[in-house]
Amino acid sequence: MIHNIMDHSAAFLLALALLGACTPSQNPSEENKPDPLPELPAPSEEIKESNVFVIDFFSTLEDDADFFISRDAGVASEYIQAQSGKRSLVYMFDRADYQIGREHAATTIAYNVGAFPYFAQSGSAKAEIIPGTAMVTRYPISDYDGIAKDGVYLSGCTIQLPIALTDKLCIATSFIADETVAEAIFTEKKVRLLSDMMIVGTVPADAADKVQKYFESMSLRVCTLGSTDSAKDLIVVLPASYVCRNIESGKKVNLPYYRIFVEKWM
Amino acid sequence: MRTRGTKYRLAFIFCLLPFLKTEAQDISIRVMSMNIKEGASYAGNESQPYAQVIKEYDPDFVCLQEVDYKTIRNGGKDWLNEVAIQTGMFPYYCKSFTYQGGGFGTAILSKYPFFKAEKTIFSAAGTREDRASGWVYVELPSGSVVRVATTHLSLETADLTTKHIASVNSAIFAADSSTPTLLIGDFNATPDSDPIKYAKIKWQEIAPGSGNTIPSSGPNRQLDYVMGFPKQWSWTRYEILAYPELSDHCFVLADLEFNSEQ
Repeated sequence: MIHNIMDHSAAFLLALALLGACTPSQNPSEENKPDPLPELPAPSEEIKESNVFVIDFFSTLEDDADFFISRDAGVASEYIQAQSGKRSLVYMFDRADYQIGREHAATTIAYNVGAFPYFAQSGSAKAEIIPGTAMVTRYPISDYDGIAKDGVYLSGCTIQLPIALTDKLCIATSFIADETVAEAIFTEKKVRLLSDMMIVGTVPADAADKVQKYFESMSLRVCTLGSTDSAKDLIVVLPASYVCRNIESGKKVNLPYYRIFVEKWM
Repeated sequence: MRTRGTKYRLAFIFCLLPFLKTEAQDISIRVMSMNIKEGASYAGNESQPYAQVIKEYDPDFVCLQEVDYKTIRNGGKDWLNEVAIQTGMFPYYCKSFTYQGGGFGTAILSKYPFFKAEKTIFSAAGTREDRASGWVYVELPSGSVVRVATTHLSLETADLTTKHIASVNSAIFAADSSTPTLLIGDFNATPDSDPIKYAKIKWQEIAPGSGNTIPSSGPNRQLDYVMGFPKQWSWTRYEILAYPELSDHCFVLADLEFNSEQ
């Protein structure tokens, strides 16, 4: 009996030792951290309107369920159709969750306004209802880039910007739960994030500071917007050649939204 | 009789199991191929009859060819989005070229959201039109990731069709040659042709010899295929579905499984 226990214990210890041997000795995420670049150049104080574009982000900034449970996709369609002046490149609807086999708000809105629908999941497809952000754009998208890896999600539409300093930019969205997720996103997409990808997403209010500091340490421009009583903050992450000039908040019936004005300044 | 060595080996294998499981890519999906003939012209460009067929078979992915987007001949409608709304699937449209004020191309409908999508256009001297192939990356409920591509290959000459396959291969595998992938659609080539022989160097033909797909009123040759990469796919069902009132092509239905440990 004692021999038997010793045999089992030995096998268990050996297994633990082997497990230890299989575990990398260093944290791989540390290896992926590039040296932060010198401080970012300050953008010009003068705003060139011809280089400014807009993204509309609809969100309650609360940690609630499907945005369209108690809101009408028809109202969102009316807002998009009635928009004058600078029209948004992408309309994003935070927590417009995806239910398999059910008509999705993105397809409804896109159909109503003559646009193309996309959906950026922010949670696993295992769930019956998949959390995420609906995106609607009038631009046909050839490159819809994304990540779905180890619980980290991000997706975005690459658009030829209709501005004077013409360029392609991937306008992505993600729910950045904490600094670890921010780091995973940067590790996967660092080349694009430093050059031609921006993120308009949300972050839990209590993690916003750390996430902002992380992205800034990677030489990205970040701005956040939240209130003391909101569960989430809006976060905008940009390459150095872009700057967030303004965020206006508004409401269409019961649809709260944020208009994000971004300038490509160099 | 068990020895102590056997116990150590068992313990070692037991410890590795979680890691092996993480690496394994077990995929089980149902796909359909539908060449809908000139923007669904056989059904008066209506979307409902096609949505009805899709709902009847309940596929995870539908790969479509000859899809009109807001053309004059289809009455300016967003046919793909109409089908998406009726079936509860999510659309990805791949415009091949501008046509009658709108677009003409290929498309994918997916039951699950896709987190990434791309398209490539083949344009070569000697072809009468540009042709788009597109693909989506989907995380399935199992956690596995699959890439599903739709294509409509050039038909002018066997040489051009072969070049088109080479071009699609380059685009698909340029940045990713590890994700399990399906290439589905109208290859405009028969099984014994050079283009299909070439395609099968890289791709596994699913259910070879399973049946002709055109014309739908009495099929006498195969032009529509389901191809898999890497060559580790198996199938439990493969059907040719004839709806002569909806298209000159038969539709193809396949239940597929992928096991990375094969």
